[in-house]
Amino acid sequence: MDGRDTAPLERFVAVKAKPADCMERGVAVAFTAPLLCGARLRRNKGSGLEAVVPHPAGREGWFILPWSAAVDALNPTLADRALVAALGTDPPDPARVRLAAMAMAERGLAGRMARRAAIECRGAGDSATRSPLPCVVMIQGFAKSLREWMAFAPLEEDRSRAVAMEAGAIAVAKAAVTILAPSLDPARGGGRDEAARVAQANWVMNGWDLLAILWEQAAPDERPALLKRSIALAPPPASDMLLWPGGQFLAAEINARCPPSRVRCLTVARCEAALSGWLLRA
Amino acid sequence: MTGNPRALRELGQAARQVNDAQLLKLVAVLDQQQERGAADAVLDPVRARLGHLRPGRPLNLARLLFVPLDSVLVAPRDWRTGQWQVPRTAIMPMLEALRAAEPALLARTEAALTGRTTRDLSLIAQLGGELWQAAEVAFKEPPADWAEAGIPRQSFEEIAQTSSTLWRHAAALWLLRQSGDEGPPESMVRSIFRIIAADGPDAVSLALLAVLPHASEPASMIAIVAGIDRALGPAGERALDRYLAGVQPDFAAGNLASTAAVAARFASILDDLDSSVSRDKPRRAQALQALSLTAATACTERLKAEVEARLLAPLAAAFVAPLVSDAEVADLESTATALRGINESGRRLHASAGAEKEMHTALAVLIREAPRLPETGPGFCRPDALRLLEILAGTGAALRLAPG
Repeated sequence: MDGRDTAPLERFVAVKAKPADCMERGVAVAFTAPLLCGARLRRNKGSGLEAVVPHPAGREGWFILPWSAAVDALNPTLADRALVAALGTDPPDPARVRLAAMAMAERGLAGRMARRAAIECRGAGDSATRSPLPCVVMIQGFAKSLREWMAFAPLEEDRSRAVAMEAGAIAVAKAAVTILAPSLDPARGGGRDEAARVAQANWVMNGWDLLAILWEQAAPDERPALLKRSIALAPPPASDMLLWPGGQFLAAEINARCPPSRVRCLTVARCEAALSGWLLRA
Repeated sequence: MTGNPRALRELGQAARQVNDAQLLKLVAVLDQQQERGAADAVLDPVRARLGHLRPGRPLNLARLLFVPLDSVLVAPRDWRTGQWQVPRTAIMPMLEALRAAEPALLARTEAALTGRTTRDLSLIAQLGGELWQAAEVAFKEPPADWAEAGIPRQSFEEIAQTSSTLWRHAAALWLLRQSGDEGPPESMVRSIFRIIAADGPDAVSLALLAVLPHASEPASMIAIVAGIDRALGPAGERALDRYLAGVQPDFAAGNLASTAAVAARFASILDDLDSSVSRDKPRRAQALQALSLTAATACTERLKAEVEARLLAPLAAAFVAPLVSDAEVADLESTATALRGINESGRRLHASAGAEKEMHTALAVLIREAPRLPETGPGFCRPDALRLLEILAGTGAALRLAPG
């Protein structure tokens, strides 16, 4: 994302306050438009939706745009528009966004690979009860890959960004494991609490799953620019998450804000591949 | 392999015509040849393309030693004295002389290179450091077989000085080269060139020549260097002019996706270079304009040659085929993405460029056929057509045909 891309955002003011709860934080979405990929969606005060996007200059804070303004400013694809339409008027949460993404992808608007992924997911059962454990493992793998990558990254700036992202990924994975720990104990797992635990773990990991997939799919020379973008996109923990089991791990903020990359590291094809991966694995 | 110059020239010309996959296969075959001279002669006409394709080539001692010099290495017939050039025929004599001077180091390095390729970038930095340091001080007089390589004795000093300067700063310059598409941070450019500047303006020119082909914003890099010390300005300008003289748009034969990427990079670089042009540099302005036009024309020609064969014909077949595989649709989509990219780069390079007629034909076909296609099924479906339309003409065009 560079200055030319985000000129239409200039009339909006960045919000710096930490989100009080998950609904205010919004749900990260595997959009297929490069400027929107990983942006969050949340309900506005009426019944409409708002997009939450990183500050285009890489500074602290997030821009909040009514979806209608995001359509003008950030070039959503056909697939993105269909996904938002499929969400309807209910407040977005990770499960609803996932179902909407599956419905959109099944129509073929995000390509045949995403269509196959959606059909496969549908066959595998209801996403709301899907085990979040594979996602935890994926985020742990993301942290490990960042650690390996930083050993060979030529620039000090990239290495410190990788350290910050690694710390964030480890914190999220630890928090999710803490939330899910009772589920791993046959004596304590199951029941109504189980669904609540899965929902909490999904909220905590939301956004990080997509970043892990983008990182995994990126070629080595694309990773420095992607890292910058990922730092901008990494969702901040909402205040209510800090009170959940494992919330203590989320207290530290990622402190590596950086100027936006001059390189457009994401393409529609890359975002669509990430969407397919996200549908199958997150 | 024959050393017949005419046969080599013809092979070199043939290499220019082949597609990327064939070129990579040819490189792999040539890399197995012991005799580098003939192989180099065949590859000389396609070196710019190889620079974009970046195939992983066997990492041997000669390659590792001369990586820092690749911007000054030239084919023997192009070599001129007084130009800070090194003829490729100097590679083997210099390598053998270094081997004689540092047998243990070279044996150790050679053993560590077994099975490695030029893609092992961290290994190049790791093993190259010691080798380049040794080479920097190794050449006090011409190697034993200098004359046999066809290089005049009186040129030795210039070649040795050019090589030695680049070897001295090779590790730092390698770091700048590895900064990726984003280019190195300004602070890093400044601190490295401050050190090089202590060797004088010629060393700065040479170092710039080594990194400019890898820079995403060459003119901006020159400006940073000139900002260190006003006296370095002319050295930067010399390097920029020489860099410009070597830039060639070659969009004719590579595969469409890589051509689109190369054309986009070319357009960005020319944008950056355009910022370096002021009224006192009319020749550079003229050269840049000519380069833009040549590149834009190359984009248009490539589009005209490809739209029918690579997009319209497979599309016509897809409309009537009972079964269209995911791979076939993916092929059409990547072709459309590349064609649009080349068209956009062409127009960015020169307003008059572009193959509008050909692109419009493709759009018209899609707009006509999309409503008739089924929503789902084993064949080519409406979402497939809408996606192609979106790729070629943007979301707005596809939205007009999209259901609710």
